Amino acid sequence: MARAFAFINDQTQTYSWYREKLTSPAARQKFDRLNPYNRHDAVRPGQVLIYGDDSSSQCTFEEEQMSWLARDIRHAFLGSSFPIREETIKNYDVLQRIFTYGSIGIGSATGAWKSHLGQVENTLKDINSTYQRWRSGVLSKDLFIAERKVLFATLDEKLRGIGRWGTGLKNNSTIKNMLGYSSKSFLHTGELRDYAKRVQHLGNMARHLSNGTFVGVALDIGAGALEIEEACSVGRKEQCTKAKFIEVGKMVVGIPSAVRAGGAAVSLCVKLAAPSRGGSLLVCGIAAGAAAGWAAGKGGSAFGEFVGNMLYESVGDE
Amino acid sequence: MNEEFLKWVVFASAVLVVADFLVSLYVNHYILPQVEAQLKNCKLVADTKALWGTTGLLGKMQRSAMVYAALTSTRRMREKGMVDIDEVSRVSRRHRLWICVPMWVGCGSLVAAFIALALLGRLW
Repeated sequence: MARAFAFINDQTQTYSWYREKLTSPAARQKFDRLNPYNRHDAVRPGQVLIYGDDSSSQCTFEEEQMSWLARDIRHAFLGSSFPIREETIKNYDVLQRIFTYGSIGIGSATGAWKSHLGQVENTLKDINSTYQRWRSGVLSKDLFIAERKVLFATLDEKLRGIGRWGTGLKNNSTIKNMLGYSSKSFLHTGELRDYAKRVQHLGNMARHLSNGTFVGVALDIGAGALEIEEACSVGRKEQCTKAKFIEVGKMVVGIPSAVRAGGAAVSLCVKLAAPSRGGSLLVCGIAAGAAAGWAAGKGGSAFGEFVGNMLYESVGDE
Repeated sequence: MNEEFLKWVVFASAVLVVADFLVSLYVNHYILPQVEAQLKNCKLVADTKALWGTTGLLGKMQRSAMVYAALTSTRRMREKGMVDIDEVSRVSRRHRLWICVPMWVGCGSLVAAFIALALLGRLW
């Protein structure tokens, strides 16, 4: 192949499977150098593999940059522990198609989700802090139980329905069961079983979702830039100019379209559903925002492409 | 319908969508906090702010959409206890226009553009 390109993996596959696709030993060697982070592991959905220009054994600056980005994406998507990795990958599988067209929509969704998970995490921390205050004698037992009851009610509200997704908390009947401790152990041993694990899990999940948003938007913009670069490096001058008009048009018109459609859909969802709880707001925000983001991302892309093409035809080929 | 006319509808809509986006940036940064401050007791607005408050531009877009819903579907929201009707009625006309007009212009432009693109066979 004449130039380097990045490949976004969409299914779990072994590294060697991709490597074997390359026929020449030089290409395989370069593939290994550009993808050192994937060599000893399966390649998961969402991870990026870099195929270099096999006409040269030297890595260009562009190839190195792509390799660093692939590493960053791998780190952003994959947590340190296996369960978190699995959960992130599961989420990625669900969201991947939306990423392609509606990074803004998914940005809205994951932004809210991050905020929601952050709130759950803070409530868990508050529960622990209340407990510590009681243990150190700052709070009386009655006050502690009263405060804990309020915090449990808050947590319960935040974990209704789909609010539980991504928290790692099972759908048990009570908050205490969900958190994995009984009233007895909570009061006498002072051990919030799995507490640290939960908090770490939530923090990681929120961070991954945040990174997912960044990666989604970056991929959208990056894809446009690569289209331009591709056209300018292999095409004629007019193809290059046309690609600039079209890709810039897609971005300038497509992103505002997706943002506006997302907002309008959320507003419409709230008006029609007239929710009565925070959980419903979250559902409307995520479902409507993501769906509209996807639709407008795709429609907005066609819209931007058309306008870019129109501008190119009127001014670009003069 | 005249193809040239449809093309110009798409072009004009694109200009409006981009202009609307820029106006929305201003509204979300300067006007939205003022309106939200007037709707402190509206559950819809307060919950949305708590949920999306820290998420930058996209969060502000969501909050703006909820304030729009509170201002334009007040009766329905009141039935669910999501808004305080007194607070909503105290929101000034100027603030209402800042919130509602960009939403109408943006949505109207998008609908017009998508219809024109569909008629031109260029939507999907």
